[in-house]
Amino acid sequence: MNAPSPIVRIAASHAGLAPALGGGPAWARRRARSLDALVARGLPDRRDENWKYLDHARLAEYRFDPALRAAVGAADLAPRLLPIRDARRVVLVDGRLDGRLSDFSGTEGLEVLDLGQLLERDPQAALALLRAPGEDADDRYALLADAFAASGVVIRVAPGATLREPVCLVHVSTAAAEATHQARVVIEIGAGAKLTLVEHFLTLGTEAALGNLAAELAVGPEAEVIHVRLHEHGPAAALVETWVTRLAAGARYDQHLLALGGRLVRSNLRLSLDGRAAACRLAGLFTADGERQADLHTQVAHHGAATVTQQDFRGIAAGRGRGAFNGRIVMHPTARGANASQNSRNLLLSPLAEINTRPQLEIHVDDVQCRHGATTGTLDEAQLFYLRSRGLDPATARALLTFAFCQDVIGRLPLPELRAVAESLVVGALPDRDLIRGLV
Amino acid sequence: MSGDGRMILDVRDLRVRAGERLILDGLSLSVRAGEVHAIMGPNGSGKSTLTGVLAGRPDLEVLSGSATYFGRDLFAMPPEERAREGLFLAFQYPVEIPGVNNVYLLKASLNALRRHRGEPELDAFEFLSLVRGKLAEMRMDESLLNRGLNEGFSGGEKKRNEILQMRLLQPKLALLDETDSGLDIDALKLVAEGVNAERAPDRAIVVVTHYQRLLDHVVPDQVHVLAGGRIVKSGGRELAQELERRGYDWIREGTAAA
Amino acid sequence: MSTKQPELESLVARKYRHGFVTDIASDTVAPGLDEDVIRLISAKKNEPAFMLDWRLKAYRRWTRMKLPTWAHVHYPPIDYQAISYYSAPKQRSDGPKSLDEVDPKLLETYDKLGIPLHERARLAGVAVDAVFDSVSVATTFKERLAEAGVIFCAFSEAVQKHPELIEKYLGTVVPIGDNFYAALNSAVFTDGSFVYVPKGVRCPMELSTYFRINESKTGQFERTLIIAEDGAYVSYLEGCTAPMRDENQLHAAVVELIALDEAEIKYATVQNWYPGDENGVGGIFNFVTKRGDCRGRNSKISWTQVETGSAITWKYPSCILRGDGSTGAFHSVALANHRQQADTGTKMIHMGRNTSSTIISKGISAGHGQNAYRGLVKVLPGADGARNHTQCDSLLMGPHCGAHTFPYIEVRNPTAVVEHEATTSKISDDQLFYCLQRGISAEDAVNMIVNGFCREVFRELPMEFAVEAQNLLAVSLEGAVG
Repeated sequence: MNAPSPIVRIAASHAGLAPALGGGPAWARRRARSLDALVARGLPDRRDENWKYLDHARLAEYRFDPALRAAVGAADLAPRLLPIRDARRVVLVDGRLDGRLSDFSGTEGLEVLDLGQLLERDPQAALALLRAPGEDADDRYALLADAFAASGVVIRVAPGATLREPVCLVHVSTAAAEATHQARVVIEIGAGAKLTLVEHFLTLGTEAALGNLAAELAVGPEAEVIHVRLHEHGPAAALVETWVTRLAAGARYDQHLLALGGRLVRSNLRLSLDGRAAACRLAGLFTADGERQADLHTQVAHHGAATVTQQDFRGIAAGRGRGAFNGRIVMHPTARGANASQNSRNLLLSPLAEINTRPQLEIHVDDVQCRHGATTGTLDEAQLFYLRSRGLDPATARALLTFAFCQDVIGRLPLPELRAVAESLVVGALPDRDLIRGLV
Repeated sequence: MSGDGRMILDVRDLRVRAGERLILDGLSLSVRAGEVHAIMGPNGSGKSTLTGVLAGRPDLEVLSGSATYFGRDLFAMPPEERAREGLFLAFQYPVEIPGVNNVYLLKASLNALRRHRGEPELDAFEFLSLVRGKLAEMRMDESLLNRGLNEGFSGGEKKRNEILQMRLLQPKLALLDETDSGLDIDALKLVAEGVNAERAPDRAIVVVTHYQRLLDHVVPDQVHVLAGGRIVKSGGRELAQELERRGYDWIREGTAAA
Repeated sequence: MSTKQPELESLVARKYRHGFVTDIASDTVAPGLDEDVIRLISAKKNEPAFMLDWRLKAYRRWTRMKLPTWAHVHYPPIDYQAISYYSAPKQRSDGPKSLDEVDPKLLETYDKLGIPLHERARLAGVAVDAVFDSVSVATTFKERLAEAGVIFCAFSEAVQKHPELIEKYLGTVVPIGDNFYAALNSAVFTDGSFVYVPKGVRCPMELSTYFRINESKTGQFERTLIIAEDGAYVSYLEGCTAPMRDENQLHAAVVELIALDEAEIKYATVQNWYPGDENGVGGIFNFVTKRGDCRGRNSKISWTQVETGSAITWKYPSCILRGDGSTGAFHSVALANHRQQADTGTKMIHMGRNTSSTIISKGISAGHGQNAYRGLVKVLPGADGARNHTQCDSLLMGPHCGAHTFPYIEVRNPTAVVEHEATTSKISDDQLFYCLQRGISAEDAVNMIVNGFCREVFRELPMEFAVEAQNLLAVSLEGAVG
């Protein structure tokens, strides 16, 4: 009855697939090395501190066979795209860049490369471009992506370029069969450049598809990036993502993460504030209703002096949902004058739901300011009474307060049309969604 | 103002505790249509507990006594039903609810009351024009509508917002819990005007206050002194002036002697 | 500005006041551990059969267990075969009948430590049990306590005189296989303190135990068991010191507290084991398992600790809030100076309804010290109305130290309210300059600021201990600014 462990299935899948993956002998060696490291160390499990709250059994239910190439029609996709004015679009279908569905040509300062083609055309350049993952637990899913590396996208913004149009990076999971799709994404922002990047994950089919994304983002000196990340996976879908992000001196990075769908979403962000006065703001929201599970991890390392982190994460668990927030901030000895604050607020709305939080500070220098706070609880009694004293019934009052809890994250999103879409998606992901729709 | 004399609120021998502490200890009070009552008293005498228990604050426990509202058992009604039946509490400390726009609340509240009365809900246009009118009367900026409920409001703005809600909801019985505290003189006048505009023969207002100040503008029919959890003295508006002159101690001495 | 970082750093001429060795004949078994050593310990202590079985079971578990590696501490592997598991001052085999029979050198030792055991001289109203290496050497005030029905004696004495209580309660809070060090302790512990407060009794005085490691190449594995029956109350204090030695010595104690209905246990520790020198040579490895079980309804357990000593501290005094309405508290000051490493905190496990817990942790890091708070707050599905508030503050002194906060918050009940807050700060040049300008020495200024920082925890200690704790902090930080 026991299925073979994921790692055995991954190895088998790799053996069947590897000869067909591009990039010649150099890439064959690279993939074999990553696979060997992965097989030797195994996927992380609950004994790994940063993975203790993940439902590994649920993840192991997914099939690790590669997704077959599936065609997506523009008409099928159109109604699902975010209605963002003048957006440039980069569309990955099951991890592969789809030129027909994408539209980014003629944008000054924007360069988009098909990683799959680059791998074939210039294996050495691709090797230099893609980070080789390490072997620690937090990098094992990146190792998995590396072992299958064959597709993805490189996005570059030229130094000094200010992109007026937002760039939408759309991750489409066809979910036409039970399978896993792997993708690599590399984003490089030149010095002084400005970009608004809207990442959107969506699922077309209904099968249990697992996505595994390994991504790197480098923000150059004085560059500014606003990065919206909208996880709108289908109810059977799962995603694991591993981001490695570096900020050079004076860079600004503003991330908004909304984990609103999927049977399981595990998001890892390792962000390094390398340069002096680099600053990041990370905002996030997860809604784990029904059977959904969301597990958000951030690790922010302050290396540069006078670097700044501000983190505000909110989570809601209802039904049988499970949510976790794990945020680690490390102040290295070189981070003199740095400042970090982190907030995690969580709402637990059902007796079968669960929320786990680990806000962590690791400080190796005295000349810094750090604080964090975390709360888990239910709706505020005084607020509930106030609403009831104005004639609202308890269910409506609860629904309204639950929605209000999310507003902090929605209200800070860039672009009014994005706020409107996000609001309706958030409402759709909440318990009592119908009550809320009647009110707002 | 003379009303139709109908009993709106009748509280008898009420004993209420908060946690382990007994706060109201045998309080009785009758309020008839058309009347304005002022309840005064020193800090900690139980003024806010009285308004809170009438509105149904969940952390207060009624030990004994009764309160009828238009002949119905008030304590058998959940807070929202009291509100829908026309009982309104202007909070001493209005709650901040970031993320709930003021306008959402006003609309949800007004429509809940209208549905309860069997009236059609207002559409967005009707609602907005009604609210705009009330806003102008309260000299409040329209931008307040799209801010989080009481979020970042000054003390005066919060109190005005309470009166705005009262004027929109047109309660039968309004309980104003220290609505005057923390207001400058202009805001006080505005609040008083708002309250006076709501006086009507079929409605009643209970003003809870620490000072005589508001009563210069909202003239009460009856003044009560609350001390030690019960009403120890009642009288006309001149009682308020006497309290202002002599403080509360003479009342306490008087009751202790009696 | 007159006070710069280098001065802040230079504050390190700390003298460990308790670092002397008492030259006393002792009965020490050869280093090494196997089942025979455990049989020997059990035989030396003339234990009933159930104790030996229990120890052997623990030992077998331990041999299969792995060292925990999750803590933020680093040390070379310990050779468990190089440690002597039993050392006792030589004296009449059945132990001293009164203080007059105690070796005068021992009494002198405790005098030097400021813990006079002579009844006439001892702290007013505090009964003391003194544990030297692994053996209890004296317990004061026994008679007066007995009148109240309170049992306060050496653990080994309790095994002889009250085996039924030991058999009933031992290992019910910290099971033998709980963790690596607890299993080791269960196998080899030699002595410790035992307290039993019967139903309805309020213990008439503070109880206290002083632990002293003296012999070299020994480990200290004491075991403390405190039982407060329905409605009982007891306040218990422990203090710890050790000589200065170049080697690392292992201290792996287990403390179990059991509070039944309406009972209250207050447990305070001032831990001042030898921390090693400023280069990190020597010092005690303090790997301790402390846990309280609020078994009865409305029971209360509070842990207060001032941790200034040890090279490495690995310790999480915890509360299992099983009874409805039970309350747990953890108040901690932990100092890591020089090369000290501390990974300490608590676990609050909410199981009963309307349980509440408070955690206040103050970490001070100086020199190259590494100080980590690690705490778990867990609310289980049945714990309706659970409340927790956690406040973790860190104070950093100097650019080479570390302060870390690792809370784990696991909530599975929607009526729970759990709040965690943490801050870090340093003693700023501005603060120091301000004090200097008002004529206060840098050292006094630091002490003032540190004491202010720790105020909420010191408040939980009995007066004498609070004063001692303040002095201890001052000595431990001597030279941390100059």
